Amino acid sequence: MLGKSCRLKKKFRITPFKIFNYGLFILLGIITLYPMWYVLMGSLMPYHEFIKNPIILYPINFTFEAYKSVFRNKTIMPAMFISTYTTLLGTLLSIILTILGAYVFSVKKFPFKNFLFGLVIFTMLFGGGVIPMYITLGKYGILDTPLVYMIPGAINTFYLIILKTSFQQVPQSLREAAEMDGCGQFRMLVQIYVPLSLPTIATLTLFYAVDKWSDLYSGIYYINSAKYYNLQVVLYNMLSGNDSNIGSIVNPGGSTYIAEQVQYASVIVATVPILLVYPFLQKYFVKGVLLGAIKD
Amino acid sequence: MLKNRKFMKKETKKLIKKYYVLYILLIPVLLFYLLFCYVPMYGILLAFKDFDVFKGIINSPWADHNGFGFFIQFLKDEYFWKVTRNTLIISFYKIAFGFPIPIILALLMNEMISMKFKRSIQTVLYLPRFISWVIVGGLVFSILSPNGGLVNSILMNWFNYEEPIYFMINKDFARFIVVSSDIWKNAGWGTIIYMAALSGVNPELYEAADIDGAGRLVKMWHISLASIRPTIIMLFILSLSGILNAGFDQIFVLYNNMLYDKIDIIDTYVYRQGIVSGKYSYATAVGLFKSLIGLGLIIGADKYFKSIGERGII
Repeated sequence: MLGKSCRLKKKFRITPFKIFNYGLFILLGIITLYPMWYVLMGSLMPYHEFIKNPIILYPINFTFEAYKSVFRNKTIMPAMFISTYTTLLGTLLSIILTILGAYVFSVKKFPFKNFLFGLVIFTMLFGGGVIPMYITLGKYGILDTPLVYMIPGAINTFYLIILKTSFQQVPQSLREAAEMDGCGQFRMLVQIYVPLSLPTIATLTLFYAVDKWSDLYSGIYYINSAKYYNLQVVLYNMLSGNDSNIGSIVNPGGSTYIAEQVQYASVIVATVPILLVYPFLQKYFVKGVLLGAIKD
Repeated sequence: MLKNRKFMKKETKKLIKKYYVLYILLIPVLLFYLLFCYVPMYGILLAFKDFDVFKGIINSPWADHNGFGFFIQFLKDEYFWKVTRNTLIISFYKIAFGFPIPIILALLMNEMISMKFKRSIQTVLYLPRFISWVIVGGLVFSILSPNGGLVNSILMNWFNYEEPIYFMINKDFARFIVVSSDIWKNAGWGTIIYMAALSGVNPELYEAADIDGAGRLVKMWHISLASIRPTIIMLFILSLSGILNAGFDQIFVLYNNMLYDKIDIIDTYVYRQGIVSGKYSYATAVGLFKSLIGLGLIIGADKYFKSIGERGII
């Protein structure tokens, strides 16, 4: 009894190490969040107020002007539409293919398994490279169509392996019992394996969605027509000053710096969808996904 | 022997019959790998051909020097060596600073007692992983902007600088900006795998060490660090093998032609040569050279670590 209370005391004692440790992480938290906060403030305040002081904790003279320009903009809104539907459909396609592959390869033994799995693993070590991929997509006729956001990167082999490991945690006895009852392979996947690995599937769905939403690469490599640019490409063009459409963003009567504010607002608009789903799935990360990754 | 093989064949057939649904489920997956991973590999031929769009890959004539003309061309090109050097330098800095930081952070986080604080700080530190490089580039641009960006306004308001510094077109800052923004984006997320490994450590080990009177540092070194050692080595092999990938998206967002000298890397060079200038064969040759060396590095690193008794990854 005495020993326990002693240890408890020790647990709650404030030591120099604790002050250092908590202080360090609070500082890191600020370093992580402040840039985003800063840009959020920049998007919500008149520019001349914003640049007066580097440390801004809340907006002075709140304004939505920058956001209005973003939502009226003739390049950003179509790009938003492209990004949204390629992300939704692409994620759906990706997770279905990943579940199928992970499930089949989680089956302990079937003829040609090692050979087929070897084919999958080999693609992680070596690939044709970017130009052959470009030529091949041209041959398939999907170059310069929104399909390039969804199809060429449909399976991330690393995610497939994570899910395969998670499926392998399902007790073998459950499979045998279900097989005994005449449960087919497909039903086994849908009714046993998917429900039991839901945390991992949820996490991988988030990963796929974030990857697709953040995809700059496909846009700059495979898309020529401006009408098929996704949000990342449009934002990139804006930031690097390549946007010939920037004139339509700048408010004619406003200050010369409104273009920068519109940049801030666009950055925020592009980040919000991720911030909306992130907190709900965060709890699964450690538990669901990465234990599997380590064991592999 | 023959009988045995016949028996095996029969057995295989039986198994295939039993599992035929698996093969059907696998068809779309294999189709994906075939169409988007294996078919493009045949495009590697481009590197050895003098590519003519109208003739196609097969009918284009072979490049000079028995097909190796483009390899000789880039190996003799000074600019190729410059981007290779930039790639190696940037990767080196990213590994030297970016690799140990998540380990140290995970060890320190592991010492925290308050679960609530630990979880909230993890939520915050993981967040940048989910933000694209374009957005991070946007943050970097706005913070370093000469027109009232955070850093310049601190310098001018608090340190009496007369003129703003044009960070994004200044060569001296380029690599520093690349490496530090990479750490900002990835260090927090990098801790997650170590945290998962640390959560699997048997708590009795710490209790036993307590009884022996071991201090905090001793426990961190001999128990925590020792138990995540296989994870550290696995991730180290992976980052070594990626040494020629200095990060296409990041560099593409952050660079401009005034910074080519310091941060133009192989991947961005291949993009400009291949896609922008249309020199497909040349760009394929450079890309192939890069992936072969990458393959060599991963196999070499794996062999080395296995030879000194570690687990390796392949």
